[in-house]
Amino acid sequence: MEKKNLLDRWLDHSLSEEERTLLQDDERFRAFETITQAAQYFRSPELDASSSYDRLLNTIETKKKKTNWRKYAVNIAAVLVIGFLTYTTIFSSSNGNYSADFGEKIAINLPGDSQVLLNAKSNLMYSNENWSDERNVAMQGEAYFNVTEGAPFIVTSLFGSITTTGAKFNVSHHSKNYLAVACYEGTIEVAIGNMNYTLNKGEQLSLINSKLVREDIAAPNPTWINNKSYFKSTPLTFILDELARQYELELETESIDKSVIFTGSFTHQDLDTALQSITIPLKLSYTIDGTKVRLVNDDE
Amino acid sequence: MNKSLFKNVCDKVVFERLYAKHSKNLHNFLYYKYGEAINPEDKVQEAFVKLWEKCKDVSIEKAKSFLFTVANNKTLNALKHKKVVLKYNQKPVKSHTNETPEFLLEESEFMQRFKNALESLPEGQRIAFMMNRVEGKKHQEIADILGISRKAVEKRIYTALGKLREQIKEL
Repeated sequence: MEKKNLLDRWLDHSLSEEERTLLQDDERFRAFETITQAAQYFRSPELDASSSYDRLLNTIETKKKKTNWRKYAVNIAAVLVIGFLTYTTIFSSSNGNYSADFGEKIAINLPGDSQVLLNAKSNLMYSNENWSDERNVAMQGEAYFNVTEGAPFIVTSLFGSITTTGAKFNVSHHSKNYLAVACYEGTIEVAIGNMNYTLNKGEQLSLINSKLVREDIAAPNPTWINNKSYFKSTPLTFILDELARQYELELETESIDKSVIFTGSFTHQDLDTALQSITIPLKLSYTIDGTKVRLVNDDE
Repeated sequence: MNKSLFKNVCDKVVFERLYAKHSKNLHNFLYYKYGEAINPEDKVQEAFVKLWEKCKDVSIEKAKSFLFTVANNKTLNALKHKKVVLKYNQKPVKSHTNETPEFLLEESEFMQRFKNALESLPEGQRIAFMMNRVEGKKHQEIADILGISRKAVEKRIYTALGKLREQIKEL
C-alpha cells in the first residue's frame, strides 16, 4: 500500500528526492524509470510558438480584411519602408554594401522582394545593374537568403558560388576550413572549385576541414535567425569562433582540445547560458573577464 | 462576474493569450495522437485561424475545447487512419564513446522494440503517458487538457506503463 502510494506520487511529479530513495529497490519502479528514459527519445518536436504565431497573424491578415489593430502596424511599417527606401535611394543609389558587426544581425531587402538576413561579422554587397537579367550578390560570412522566383540569382563568395532561380537557403563560410550550405526551399546549385552540387529542399552540404558531408535536415529555417546557433558534429573550434562573433569575445583556449566534435546549440541572448551549453557537456569550465573568456578543462 | 464578460476572443490580447496558453499543448497532443505523418503545426494554425473567424460566436471558456475539436477534425480529414509513426530522435552525438558495438546494437534493438510498443498503444493512453513522462505534466494538468477526470488519466498512464513493461521485458 505504502509503495503504491509512493509510486503514484512519483508518477504525479510530487515525490521528494528523499522519498524517492525508498523506491530504489522496487522492481516495478526501476522498470518505469527505464521506460521513462526511453520515452524521452520520442518527445514531440518543439513548437516555436513565436514564429508560428507570426505566421498565424499573416494567414489571418491575408484571409480577412485588415482589422483595426493590424492597420496601425501596417501604417507604421509603410512609413518605415518608405523612409528606408528614401534613405537607400539617396545615399547608396540602389547599390548595397552591408556589414554586420559583432552580435549584430541585419535584414536587407533586395530589389524584387528578395530578402537577406546577415549574421554577425558578415558582409554583403550587390549592384542592381542588369538585375532583371542576372542578380549578383557577393558575400562573406553567414547569410540566409530568401530569393523570389526570377532571373538567375548568383551568390559569390570565397569558396565559389551558388546559383538559383528562386529558393531559400543559408550559407556559412567564415573560414576556408568551414563551409555549410543548406537549402530550405526550392533548388540551388553550389559550385565549389570546379565541382558542382545540386541541393534540393531539406538538404545540406558541408565541407569542414576538407571533409564533404551531404545530409538531410529537418528544420524549416536556420536556427540562428531565431537567435540560437546550432551545430551538428562540428569541431569545437568553429563553434567557439561563432560564439566569439555573437558576443564579441577574445577566447583563451590554449589548454583545451578544440578538435573535439560537438553537437549542440547556444543562445545569442545570454553569455552565461551560452557558455554553459558548450562547456558542461564537454567538461570544461570558463571564467569571464570583460570581453575575455578563458576556457579550461574541468580537472585543471 | 469577471473580465470575460467584457472581452471576447476577437480581442487581440485575448486571442494572443489563448495562443500562448494552448498552442503548445495542442501541438503535442496532435503529435502524440497521430505521429509525425500529419504536420501538427499546420493543424494548430488552421484551428486558430478558424477560432479567429468565429471569434464572435466562441466564448473564452469554450475556446480550448473548440480548438482541440477543430484541430482533431481537420487532422482526421487529412488522414484516413494511417498507422502512427513516431520519430526516433537521434541521441546527442558524443565526442567520444566508450560503449562496445554489441552494447550499441542491443540498445538499438531495445529502442526499436520500444518504438513499436509505443506506436501500438491506444492513442488515449499514449497521449496521457507522453504528456506525463516526457512533458513532465501532472495528472491534473493532463486531465484539464484532455477534458477527462484525473482518475481516468492515472488509469491511462498505469495501463500504458504496464503494457510497455510487458513488451520490453524479454530483452
